[in-house]
Amino acid sequence: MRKKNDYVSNVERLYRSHRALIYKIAYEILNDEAWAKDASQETLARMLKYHDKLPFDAPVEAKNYIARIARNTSIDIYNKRKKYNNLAAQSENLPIADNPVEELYITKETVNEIVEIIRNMDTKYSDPLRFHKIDKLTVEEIAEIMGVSVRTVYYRIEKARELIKDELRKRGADND
Amino acid sequence: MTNKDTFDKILDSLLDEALPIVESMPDKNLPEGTDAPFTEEDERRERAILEKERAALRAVHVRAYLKRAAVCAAALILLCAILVMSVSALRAPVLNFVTKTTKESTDITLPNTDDASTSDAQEIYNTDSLSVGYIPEGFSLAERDIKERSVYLLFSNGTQTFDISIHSNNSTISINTEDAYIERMYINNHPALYSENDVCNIITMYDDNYVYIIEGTIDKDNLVQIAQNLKKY
Repeated sequence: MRKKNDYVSNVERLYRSHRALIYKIAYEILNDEAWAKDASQETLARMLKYHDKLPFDAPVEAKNYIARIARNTSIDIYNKRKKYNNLAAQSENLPIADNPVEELYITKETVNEIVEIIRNMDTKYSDPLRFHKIDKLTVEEIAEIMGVSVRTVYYRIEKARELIKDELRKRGADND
Repeated sequence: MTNKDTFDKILDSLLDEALPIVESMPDKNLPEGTDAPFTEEDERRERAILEKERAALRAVHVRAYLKRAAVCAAALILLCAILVMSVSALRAPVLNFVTKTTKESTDITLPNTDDASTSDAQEIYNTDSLSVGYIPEGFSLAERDIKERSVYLLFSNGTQTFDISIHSNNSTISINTEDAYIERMYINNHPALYSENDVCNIITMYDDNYVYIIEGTIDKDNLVQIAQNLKKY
């Protein structure tokens, strides 16, 4: 259950309990103490803005959600300060492969495989998928958090789905 | 529907099943939290962010309360209005209060601003310069008085009264017209004003030199007739 009453205090409590984690995530991306602090405070602002998406009563989910916000906020700050060279712009315009469906087999283990694929997926693709499907953020909200265009968000969500399909296909072939 | 569409639907349902499981597990490769080097200034900035959000939330609550209070006040006013209008004893005073004229007196401004002295008034009286040509039946002179700048004659029949007063041309005379019916007219080619309310009826007319006021509890026709037969020599 997600609490709405007195959400500022609840957000503050969550933020304080994960502030060190937020800072560490930000520092790993930004490699600068001042920027990492800015990213931490921006993460707090975004937690307040999207407080209705915060799973206050689920510690693990809350931690994952906060980590996603922190990570994407840091990347957004880094991109805006034009020091992140590894922005996946190169791969953004690649056409998404449309492989024949008959190559893919669904078994009772498929859900577990998908779980593992998502956990191992580049967060650049898994984060927007999780924001959209789990946190119920709109594409516009995801674009704001990630600091990318709406079109890019759509692309990354679709890319995540294709990566899952490709991996399932590969595993199906390996099992043959 | 193509096979691709079918598979996409299946994938969606699988994702709906898988993602909550992903979410319930701690993310891989999350760094371990360490003591971050946050200073007092950082704490202050964080407190400012939180306080700003609290202030915005308070403003939202205040707006919501005010809106609710306004709705309750409007409903209460409407209820009171319905209650008042449904009780006849209350309805009349309220309607009178709402619709009554704000003009409680009517001023007649006379062109001649020369002062009239007491001797002028005495001259009018002593030289018999006033003739009251019509007195309603049953009335007789009950009182007469020469006041400063005026002549005053009171007539009575025991139950009703009326008086005639004459004033020299002054600047302005105020006549009580509160809650009164007002009618402008001409008497003997002189401009006149008739005022009628629950207390008394008044005719006021003026010429180049004097203003004449006939006031009393008698009816309009008698007042008009008195005025028409009032002569100042």
